[in-house]
Order: sequence, then structure tokens, then C-alpha cells
Amino acid sequence: MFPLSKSDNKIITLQSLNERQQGKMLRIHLFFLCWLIFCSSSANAQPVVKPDIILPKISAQPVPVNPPTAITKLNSECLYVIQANTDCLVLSSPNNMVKITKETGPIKIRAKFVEDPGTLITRTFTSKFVFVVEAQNKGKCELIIVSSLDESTVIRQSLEIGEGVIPDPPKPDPPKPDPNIPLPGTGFKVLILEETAERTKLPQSQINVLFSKTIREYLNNKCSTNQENKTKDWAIWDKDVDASQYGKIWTDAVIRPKSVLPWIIISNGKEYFEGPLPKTVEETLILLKKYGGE
Amino acid sequence: MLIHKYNIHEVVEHTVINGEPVRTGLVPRNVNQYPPGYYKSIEAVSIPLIPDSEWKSRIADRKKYGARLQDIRDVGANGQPIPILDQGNRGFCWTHSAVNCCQILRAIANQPYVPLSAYAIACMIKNFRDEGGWSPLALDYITKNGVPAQSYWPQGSMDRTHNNAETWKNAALHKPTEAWVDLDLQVYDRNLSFQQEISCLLAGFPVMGDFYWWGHSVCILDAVDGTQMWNETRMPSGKIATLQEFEDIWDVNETGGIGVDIFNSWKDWGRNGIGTLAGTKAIINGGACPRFMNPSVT
Repeated sequence: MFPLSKSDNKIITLQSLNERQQGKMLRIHLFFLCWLIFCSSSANAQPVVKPDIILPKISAQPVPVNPPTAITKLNSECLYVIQANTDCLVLSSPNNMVKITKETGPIKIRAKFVEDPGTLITRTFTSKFVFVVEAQNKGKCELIIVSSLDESTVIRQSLEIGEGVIPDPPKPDPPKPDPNIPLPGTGFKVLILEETAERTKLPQSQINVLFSKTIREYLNNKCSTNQENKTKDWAIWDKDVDASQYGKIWTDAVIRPKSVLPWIIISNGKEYFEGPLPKTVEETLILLKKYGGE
Repeated sequence: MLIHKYNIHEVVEHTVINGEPVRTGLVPRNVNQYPPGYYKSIEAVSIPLIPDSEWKSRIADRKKYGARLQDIRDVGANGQPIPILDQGNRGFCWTHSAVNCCQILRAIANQPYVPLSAYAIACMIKNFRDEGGWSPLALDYITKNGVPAQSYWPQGSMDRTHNNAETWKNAALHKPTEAWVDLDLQVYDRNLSFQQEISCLLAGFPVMGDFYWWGHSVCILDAVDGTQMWNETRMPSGKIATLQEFEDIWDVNETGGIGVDIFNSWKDWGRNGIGTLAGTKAIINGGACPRFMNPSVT
């Protein structure tokens, strides 16, 4: 056997053999010689390594005199797509400026991309992992791509979101107060109206609603405070009450139509409920919490 | 404090608080002049009744939900218990039972706590004399004129200078506007049957009750189920009642073992003014049930 050594870069010397063998051996050796030449040229050239993490390439900009840190501008209409052939972690700091979605490649996406913000195109991303970054809030953030525990492999990319590119969402008109709302004004208010002469006819479970310690504690915790008398804004009255001492919003509430008694009116200034008083403490609490909160 | 047929003599004859014998003030009916049955039925007051078969379950239910009137009383003064309305050394129990009912009604409706003056009512009705009366008489006066706050007529005061226009202008803010009371009868005959009394209590209405066996009038807050109170039922000796004694005390055959919790007008008495009347001792001989006080901010 002929000793071979790639690093030696040597040509094998033919030993004495019969002519046929020599021819055959010559072909083998020539092949081997070519192989050696190939290996030799590879060892001397720069290694060609396919990149594992690919960031979008933004068109070259004229270099200003005092170049800032490379920042990519991202508006709300574009996507910033990161590709990776090994699994990695893509984070943003702060974490509320962009939304990062991890996909499995290959994947086809039709959108405007940060490399060419004005053009809607379809692109196929062939890498094993595809991270789609979308703008959420105006400001600056940094993408941090972690593919291993080796700090030197961490990739950081600054993004500038918006700044005149993302239009401010139109501010909705403040909701107009419902002119029909009972017990208007800020604060949680509750009024129960009953016919006291008929109370003995009610089921005990409903009578308990009027007196329940749990409901009274809830109302005392949640209702606004009447600034005149310093009590909480809830009351249980006979339907024939003269509420003039309590003011117009209460007298107006008393005369609202009622289809049955006892009747409950709940208002938090924005939404309201008026209807039959629920039959149990538990049902009443659920109804109250819907407007007064937990 | 449990009052029953075997210890009433102690309560009636020997109650002393802070070194002073207590006063009552109920005037018994002159049965010679007005014998029992002289007037027509006390059913003249039409209260929809709660069947007695439901009483015990309703009593348990109210306690379970903290929905008794004594629970309301416990927080009725800006989160604190409504203080005992002390009648002191005057025979004015009959106005104190009525005014106590008024204060409880205000608390039920979540009205601001205003200490009311039972002395004002007694002084005006009896022209500043220390005399007894009946709770429906007090309710009559309060319904027409209201009851002033103690800031206008201090509790315990018999001073005529409090009787002025400002006092009664304030009093007009505190009037019952709904009540069950038999207006066809004289005040000393106005009464509720035991079934009416318990029905009102179970529905959450305080009852002003006059008790002839006691010579006393008190505000009644809640019905109680005596059959659940055996361990608390003791004889004057201090021993727990035997079964026979227990059934006798609670008049199981007559009242089904039902009694009442009262809110007395004697300072330092009972459980912060609360006591229990057992069996037939819970049956009133006169009274009425106010249902609603018109709301006021002061």
C-alpha cells in the first residue's frame, strides 16, 4: 500500500510492477493525484460556511460624518424577518415595542418588508426557523438574538419604531353620557324599591337580599359617598317614598317605570341596570359585581 | 339574657342596674272598664301572614345570611352598634320602644345615623310628667309630628326650653310614613296577634311590643327558635333545664318553641341591650309595627 499524507502534498512514486499493472496502477495513481491536488487547494482557501442566522439586509446609506449605531427603521406596515437554521431565542428590549412571532420554515409570506417598505411582495423564507417582527408601539428597541450560551454569538440589532411613520390612532370621541341613565354622575349607586306592605309575601330568599350582611358590606365598599350626609350611595325605600331630601337624581330614579316590585336600579355613571330584584343573595351579588366590579 | 316563666319575678321585681332599680312605664288596661274582647278582633290589621310551618326554616335562613335586625343594629351607627336608648329613671319605656323601632328602620334603609330623642315624645304627650303609656300612643304622636334628634332635645332632659319651632322642624324630618296599626281601636287596645307579630319580624320589620306580665314596652327585633337553645335554657338554680322543663319554658305546644329577641331601653342590660323572651312570654299584649321612615339626610 502506498502511504498517503495530504499534508505532505507529495506525489506517489510508482514501484516496479508488470506493465498492465503499471497501467492500471498509473490510472489509479493519476486519479489519486488529482484527488490530492483538489484537497490541497481546499486546505489553502478560506472556508465557505453557510450563515446560521440571517438578518434583513438594508440598502447602503450614505455614511454621515458621525455615523450613529446602525439602526433599522421599522414602520407599522412592514415586517422585519429574521431567519435561522438553528433554534434560538429572539427577544426585544423593552418588550412592548414589537411583537415577535416564531414560525417554522420554509414559509411563504406576502407583505411589505423592511428592506423595501413601499412594495408589497411575496417572499419564501427557507430557513428552518423564521421570526417575524412587527411594530407595536412608537419608540426605540433592541432585538437580542441568543443562539447559545456563548456571549460572543449574541446578535443585537437596534430598531426605531414609528417616529412620524406610524400615525397616531385617531382618538375616539369621548362617549356621550346616556341621557336616559338613572342615578347619573360618577360613582356606583344602587336603589332598591319595594312595597313594604307586601314584603311578608316575598320568599325568604328575596327578603334576605334586603338585609344580607354580605350585600350590605359590598355596597358599603363599592358605592360612592354622598357628600352631603356622608353615607354610601345606596338605599332601600318604599315605592311611595318622598326622596326630596336626597336630591333630584334620587327623586327621578324613584319615579322611573317599574313593572314589578321589588325593583333594583344599578348605575356606575356609564352603564346601568334596572329590573326585578333577583330572588337570592347569590344572584344579586353577581348582578351588582357586573357593574360595581369584584 | 333569657327571660322565661320561671325567672320573670327576678326580671320584673328585682332588676337593678348600676345600683338603681329600673323603671318600666307600661300602663295596664283597666279590664273592669274595658274587659278582654270588648273591642272587635285584632285581625282588623291586614298583614299578609307567613305560615307558622315556615317559621323555623326562615329563622335559620336569616341567621345564616346575617340578615337579622340585630345584625343591622350591630352596624347601624356608622358601622358601630346603635347605642342603647336608655330611659334612665323615668317610666318612659313606651316611647323608647317606638323610637328604637324608628332608629332600626332608618338603619335598614341605609339612612344616616341620627340619635333620636324618646324623651321629647314622652314629655310632649304627658306634658313633662313622669307617667306611663302605651307604645301605639307614642307611634301616633311620632307619625303626626316626627321625632327630634337628640341634638335638639337631649335624651334624659325634661327641660321645657327644648320645645321650640326649631326642634319640631327637625322632628318633621324623622317620621314613619308606613305602618301596620289598628286605627279603629283605642291606643291601649291596639295589638297584633302572635302570628302577625312573628310574620312582621320574619319579614324584617321591628315591632313595638307592650307586655302586661312585665309592665314594660320594648322594641322587638327578631323571632328565635327556642328548640335550638336548650343549652342556654337554665332554671333559676343555674342548671340546664330538663327536657320537660325546656318544653314548658318554651311553650312548645302553644308557640312551637318560638320566642323573640328584644332591644331593651335599659343601659348595661343583656347582650348590649339584647335579651330573649321565651315561649308565651314573647306574646305581646299591645303594639304596632312601623314599616318605613321617610328618608332624611340629617
